Amino acid sequence: MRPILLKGHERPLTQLKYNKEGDLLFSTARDKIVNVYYSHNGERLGTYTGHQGALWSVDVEPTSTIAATGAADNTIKLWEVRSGRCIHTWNFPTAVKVVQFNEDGNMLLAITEQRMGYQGTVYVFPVIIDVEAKQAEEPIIKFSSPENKFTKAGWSYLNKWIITGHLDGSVSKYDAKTGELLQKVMVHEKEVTDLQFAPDMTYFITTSKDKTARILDTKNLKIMKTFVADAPLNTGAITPLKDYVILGGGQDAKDVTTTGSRQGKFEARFYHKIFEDEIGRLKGHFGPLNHIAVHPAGTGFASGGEDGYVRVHHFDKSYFDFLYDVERMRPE
Amino acid sequence: MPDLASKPSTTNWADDDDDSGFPAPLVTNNPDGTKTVITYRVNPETGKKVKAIQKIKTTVVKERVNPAVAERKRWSKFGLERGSRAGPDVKTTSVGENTPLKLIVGWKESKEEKVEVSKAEAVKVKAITCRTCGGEHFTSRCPYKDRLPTADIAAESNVSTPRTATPEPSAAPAASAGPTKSAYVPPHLRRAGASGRGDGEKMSSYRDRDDSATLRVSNIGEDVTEDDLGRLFERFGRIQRLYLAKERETNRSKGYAFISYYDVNSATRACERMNGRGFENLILRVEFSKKS
Repeated sequence: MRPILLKGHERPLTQLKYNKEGDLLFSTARDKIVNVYYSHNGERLGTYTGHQGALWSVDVEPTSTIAATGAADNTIKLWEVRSGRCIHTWNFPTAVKVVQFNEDGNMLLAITEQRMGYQGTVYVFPVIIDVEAKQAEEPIIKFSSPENKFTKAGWSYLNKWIITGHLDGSVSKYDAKTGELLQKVMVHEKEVTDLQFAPDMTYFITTSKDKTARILDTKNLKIMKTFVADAPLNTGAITPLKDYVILGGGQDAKDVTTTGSRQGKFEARFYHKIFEDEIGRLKGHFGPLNHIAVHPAGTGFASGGEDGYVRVHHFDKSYFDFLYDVERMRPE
Repeated sequence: MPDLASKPSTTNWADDDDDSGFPAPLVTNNPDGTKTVITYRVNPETGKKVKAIQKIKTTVVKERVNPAVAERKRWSKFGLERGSRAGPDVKTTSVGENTPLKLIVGWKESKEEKVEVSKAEAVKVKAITCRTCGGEHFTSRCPYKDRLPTADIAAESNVSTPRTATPEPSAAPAASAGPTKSAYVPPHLRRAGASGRGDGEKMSSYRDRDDSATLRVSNIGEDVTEDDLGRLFERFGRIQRLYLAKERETNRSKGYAFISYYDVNSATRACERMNGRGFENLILRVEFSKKS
C-alpha cells in the first residue's frame, strides 16, 4: 500500500473529514488554515483562511455545499466549500472543540471548552444549506454539564440524541430536542479522546487515554466490544464494508522526545470488530496519530499525526480478502 | 553543447535550451496502437546530448462516478491554491514509500522488534556488570578484584566442559570458587579472561583442538557427498570426524572437506596416497590442515 502524503499543515493535525461521497478530504490542524484535498490523488483543492487560532474540528454537510469549522479563536465559521468564502461566524466565550452536522445537514452541533469560569457547553444551531441565506444567530438548544467537561460529541441516528464523551471517561446521552440528560455510563478510566459512529449510527466507538477502545450501543449505551492497545489512544474509526476498526494513538506529545519512534508505537492498529483481536499494524507517522477518518465507501482511510502529515491510504486487495477461518466456512 | 555565444540573442536566455540545434521531436504511430516519441535534450548532470526514445501506450479507463463528484472535479482552486495548475502539487502532495499492511489472525509484535529490544537490554546489562563480583561497576574498579577470580573464567569453564574430551583439572576449582553464571560469554571475552589471569588454565576451544591428524581435502566435485568421502578415506584408518563444507543457503558443496583421523600415521598415509589422485572428474588435493 502506497500512502499519499499531504503536507498542508505546519502544526499537529486535529481532525480529518471525508465528505459524504468520499471524494473530498478536509483537514484541520493547530495552524490557522483548513485544507481540502481530492482524496483519490491528494491534490489540494483549496484552503479556508480566516481563523485566528488553532483549529479543533471540521465537518461538511451531506451535499458538500457548506463546511463548518471550530477553532481556538472562540468562533465557528461556515464556509462555502467550492470557493473558500466565509459565509457566517458565530462567536463564543471559549474555544470550540467539536463541530458536527446532523444527518440532514440542517443542524450543527458544537461543544465549547470549559475555561475561564465558563462551563463547557453543547450548542445546536440551525443551518440553512444555502450559501446566500442568512444563518440564525441563536442556538436551538444549549446545555452544559457543570461537573463534567465535554471532550467529544456526536449525533445519533434520526437526530434523536446527542452522545457526548467526557474528561473523566464517561459517556452521556442527551435528548437532542430538550437537552435533558437521559443516561450516563462510565466507559473508560481516563479521558475520552474520540467518538466516531458506525455508518448506520446504531453504535459508536470511543477511544481513551486508558489504552482501550470500546464499541457502545447507541440505544442503551451498553458496552458491546472492547479493544485493548498498548499505548494511549487518540482516535478510532469503524470501517464500512469490512468488520474492522482502526485505532490510532501513541505516546503523549509531551513524552515523545524521550523515546525513539519505534517505542512510541506511532502506528495505525487494525482490530477485528467482532473478534476484538489485533490483526495488523501500519507504520508511517513520526508522531502519535491524532485522528483517523475512514472513507465512507470503506476503500481507504486517512490518518493525521502530531508530525503535521496526513497520510491517505487506499486499501490493497489483501485488505478486502482477509477473512477468519470461521468466516470462510460460512455458507454462501 | 552548441556554441551559444555565437548565436544571435533573439529570445530570452532561459529559452536557450529549446533552440539549441536539436531536431524536432519525432512522433511515430505504431501499427499496434502505441506511439514512439523520439526527443533530444542535454542531460543537465553530464552536459551530454541524450536521445530519448519513449514508447507510449494510451489506455482509456472508463469510470462511473456520482455526478456530484464529477462536478466537483471541475471546481477551480481557491484559497492558497488559487491559480494553481490542475493536478497534485509536489509542495503539498507526495507519494510515500510502500508500507505493507498484512492482516493476520493472532497478530503479534514482529520478531525483529523483539530482538532489537532484547539486544538493547543486553547492552544495558553488559554495560553495568562487573566481571569479578557481578556488581554494577566496571571490572577494573571492582573493590574485590584482587580477592576473587573473574566471573568470566567461571562461566566459560562451565560452558566449555561438555566440549572438552578430558576436562582440565584446574577448571573445576575455578568453577566452584567463582559465582556460577550460566549467561553466554562471547569468545573474545573468554580468551581475554583466560590470558589476563594467566593462571595456567587452558581453554578447550577450536583454537586448541588437536589438529595434527586432520587433512584438508580440496578440489572435490560438487556432487560428492560425505558418505563418498568416508568410503574413500576410511581405508587408511578410523575417521574421527569428517566435515564437508557446504553453502548455507543452497546446501551445495563448496568443494573442500576436513577429515580427522584418530591416528597421525593413518593421516600421513592417506595424505601420501590420495594427494593427486583423480576422484570423479577432478584431481584431489590433500594436505595437512594448517592452523588458521
